[in-house]
Amino acid sequence: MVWHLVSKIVKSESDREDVCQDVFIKVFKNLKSFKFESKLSTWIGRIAYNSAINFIQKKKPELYEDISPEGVTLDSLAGIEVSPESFAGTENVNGILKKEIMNLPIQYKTIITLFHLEELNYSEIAEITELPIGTVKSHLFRARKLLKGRLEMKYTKEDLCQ
Amino acid sequence: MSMMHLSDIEIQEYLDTKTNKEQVEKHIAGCKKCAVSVTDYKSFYSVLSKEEPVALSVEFIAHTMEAVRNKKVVLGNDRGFYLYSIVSFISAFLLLKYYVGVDFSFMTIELSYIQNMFRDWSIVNSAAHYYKTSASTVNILLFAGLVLLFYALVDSIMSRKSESTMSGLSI
Repeated sequence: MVWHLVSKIVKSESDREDVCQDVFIKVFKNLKSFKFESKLSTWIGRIAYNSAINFIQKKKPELYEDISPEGVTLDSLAGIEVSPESFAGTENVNGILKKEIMNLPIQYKTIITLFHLEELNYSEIAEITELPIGTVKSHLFRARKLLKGRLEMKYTKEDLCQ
Repeated sequence: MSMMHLSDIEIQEYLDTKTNKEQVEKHIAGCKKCAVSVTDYKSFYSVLSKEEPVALSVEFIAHTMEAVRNKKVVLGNDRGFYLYSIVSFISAFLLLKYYVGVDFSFMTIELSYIQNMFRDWSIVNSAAHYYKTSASTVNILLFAGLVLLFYALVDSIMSRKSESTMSGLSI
């Protein structure tokens, strides 16, 4: 989960490794303060999420991608590039999906990953991201709608069902 | 719900948590458009489930474990450092005062208990009597112990200094 969360938020591969190491050290250092009020995985997830968010906020402004997904519409995504592999039909569904999820705003891709890949429920995601459950739900619904729209715009059903 | 079509939110909420299960299922049984939308979303969910978890490389795991281990060493020294330092400072003080002969009378702290203890060597004589050895042997052992403790101070400071630059991790 740590890697999945961090990799959705931090772009550079080497930075991801540093942030992940940072997360595990923080977990080790603060393990005594874990009070069993939540699941250990949720607690670690929150450390990972906060570490990754803090990391990108400390980065230079040109590398900083807005966390908030406000103002993202399907129309604004028309110019997104499609890779040669997907044109040639050689890219598998996993690759297509990973790439399209990475193009989503940070909070959308984080929440969609936690729900579908990590199989967490709304309240666990709310605990990790420290967002109200209502916000988590609305981000998740919008993220899915956006992702669905993008996939339908760029790929055929056959591409996605291979 | 039965009169209007299901919204995207209602469909997703139903698929996520089975909210309003009976109502939704009753509705889609009589509404072809919504049934198609639900099926559409179901197939989209199955596409989402095709995202495979990332298998971490052996190198990454090794690097992370090493970083955690390094930090553990530093944390361990952090904990013991202050106690270590206090003991070492006391031993250094005793060494300088009783073996080198440095006069600490200018110091305002009154260490009369320690001074008296060493002045009449009662501790040395008692130890010599207990271990059935001479007072000078105990004296030598005491001196060696104090030297070792003093060395510990220097070692502690040096190792702390090198560890702070060791892993390059920022916590």
